[in-house]
Amino acid sequence: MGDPIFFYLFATIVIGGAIGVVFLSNPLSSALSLIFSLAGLAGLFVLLQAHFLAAIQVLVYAGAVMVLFIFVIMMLNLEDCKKHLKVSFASLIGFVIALNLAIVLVMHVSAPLFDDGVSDKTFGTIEGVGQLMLTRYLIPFEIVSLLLTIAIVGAVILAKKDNPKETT
Amino acid sequence: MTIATDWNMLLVKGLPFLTLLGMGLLLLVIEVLWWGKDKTIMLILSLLAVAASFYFAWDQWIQNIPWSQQLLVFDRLSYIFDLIFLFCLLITLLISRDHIKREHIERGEYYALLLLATVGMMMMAHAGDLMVLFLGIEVMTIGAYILAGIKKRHSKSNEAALKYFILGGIAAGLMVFGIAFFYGATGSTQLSILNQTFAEVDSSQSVLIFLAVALILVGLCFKIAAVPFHFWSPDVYEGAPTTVTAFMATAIKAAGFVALFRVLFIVISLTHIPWVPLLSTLSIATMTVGNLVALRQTNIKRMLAYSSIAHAGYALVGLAAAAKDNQLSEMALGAIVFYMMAYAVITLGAFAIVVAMGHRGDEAEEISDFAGLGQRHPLLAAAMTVFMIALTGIPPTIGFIGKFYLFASAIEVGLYTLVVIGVLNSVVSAYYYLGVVMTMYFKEGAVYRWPPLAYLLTTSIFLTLLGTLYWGVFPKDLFLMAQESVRQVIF
Repeated sequence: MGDPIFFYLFATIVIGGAIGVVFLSNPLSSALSLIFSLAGLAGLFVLLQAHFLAAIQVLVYAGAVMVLFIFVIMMLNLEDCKKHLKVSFASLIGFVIALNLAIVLVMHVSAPLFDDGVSDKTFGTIEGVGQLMLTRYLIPFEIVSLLLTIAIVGAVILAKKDNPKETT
Repeated sequence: MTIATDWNMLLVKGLPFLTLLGMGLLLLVIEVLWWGKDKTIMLILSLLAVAASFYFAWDQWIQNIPWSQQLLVFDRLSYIFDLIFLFCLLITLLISRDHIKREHIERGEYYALLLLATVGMMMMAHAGDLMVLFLGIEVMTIGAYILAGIKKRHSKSNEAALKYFILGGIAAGLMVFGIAFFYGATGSTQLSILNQTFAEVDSSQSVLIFLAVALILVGLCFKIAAVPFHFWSPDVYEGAPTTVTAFMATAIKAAGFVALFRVLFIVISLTHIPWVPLLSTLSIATMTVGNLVALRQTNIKRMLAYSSIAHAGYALVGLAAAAKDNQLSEMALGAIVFYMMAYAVITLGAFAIVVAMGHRGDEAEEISDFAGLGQRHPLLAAAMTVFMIALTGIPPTIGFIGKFYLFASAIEVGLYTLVVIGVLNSVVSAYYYLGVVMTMYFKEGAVYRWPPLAYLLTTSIFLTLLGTLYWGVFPKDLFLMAQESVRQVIF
């Protein structure tokens, strides 16, 4: 598990980044602090021996997804949005549910029903994940490739410019 | 941990979906390489694949050798749903050709996506692991998002696709969250292991399990459009091309139910969840809201959308009956399977007629467009009358038999209130179903020459009509088949 000091370090980054997302007024700064939060999460994954997940977290979330976010923000040319703290019925319900979830998570999540325990040294490492993916979970892995094929075909169909002769 | 997989066995058992998968991918390639403008070849190839797949699934159903590969299971329940999906796909393909031609959406990808979405549904029916179940749902719905929005020049189609995509994305997120909780609590997503764990460990204290079940149920209720997760369906059904709507209303609903079965088989043994009150409430809300809102619809596709919500409610009556005593009873499950078949046959027929009503540039989607159909085209009007009567649940149609078995299974376990509400709802539904019939025969409509119906369209209307009436009079074989299918379910 490594030194607890790293855990606290990364946890602070995650939570600090998350708070920044909510409270910063410039959308771009919000997005940047989201990157911090996601990168901190990757650090936590490393501490949990989930190296593969950490790499994916950085590549996909902190990398690709965030670049997309920032592109969109820049394209929309948003101005600073002032954040009012309005108490509406919806926000009240949201608050209650969030509080509930927090209580449930803090009180109960510590006890799994059936402790599988991560006894296997390779669990979560790139080696371990790769092996599982191509042996035990080969079928889901293949279904994912089908899923991606469909998604790509769909994106092309919907985004491609029609041949003007064919359209009405 | 590795598992030894008998790949040959998997190949043989999986032929129904492998055929469709292969043909779907082949069609994508042909679309790129094909030089001609005529896409009839695509339709023929798709129909061939459906026929082959139907044969394989039927063969496996007859052989009845349950086999589990842990991630995929092959039992009669999954094969019967394969057959239902294939039937829906067949009729959808038959009614598609003329419709997509006049809507200018005839492209190879249309056929390929229909086939591949059906593969996703079959994955749901064969799922032995929550991961496969989830991926199957995603393959199916991503195909459906695209098909809903394939008329890209129409703002309604765009709206349908976007709404479906956003709400479907949220539902998928909730569901995957639930699956993660299951994994967190038990260390596995495999249904057979979950089943064992629940048998051995008292999980009544586990909040995680409770959350997991709730989240997964929400995700699945979204797929079957149960109230209060139904808001997407009228808009999506209205905006999507009519043929795609027909496919969504029947095949996707059946797929949602088989996924619900697969999950419920496992979690039904959790005694601390009040299954019967929960499912009864869901059922009553779904039936009542669906029927009451359907009364006010003037668009036939929206009307059928609300009717499909109401029918999901009737099927949930069966599920509530099945869930009594914390084990799923065979009779009620068989009744639901039968109802899914009945509903698919009737609804596909009704949508085929909606497609047949349309012309180039005039899709005739309002109920008032049916005015005077009785004089203009008596046969079409007669067929529509049969379908409307069947949806109401009046004998001698399959709709009556389906409802009869559902309500009978609920009475068997003493859920009288639920049955009374169900019957009252059927009475309410008669108003809007028979309203269509009244419009056709007693209202004056525009008089114009009726173009001859397309050959394939006539075939599909004839097939569904035959099914509705034949199985309405002789339901025994089909019902026995449905009962047999749920007898020996494996995980």
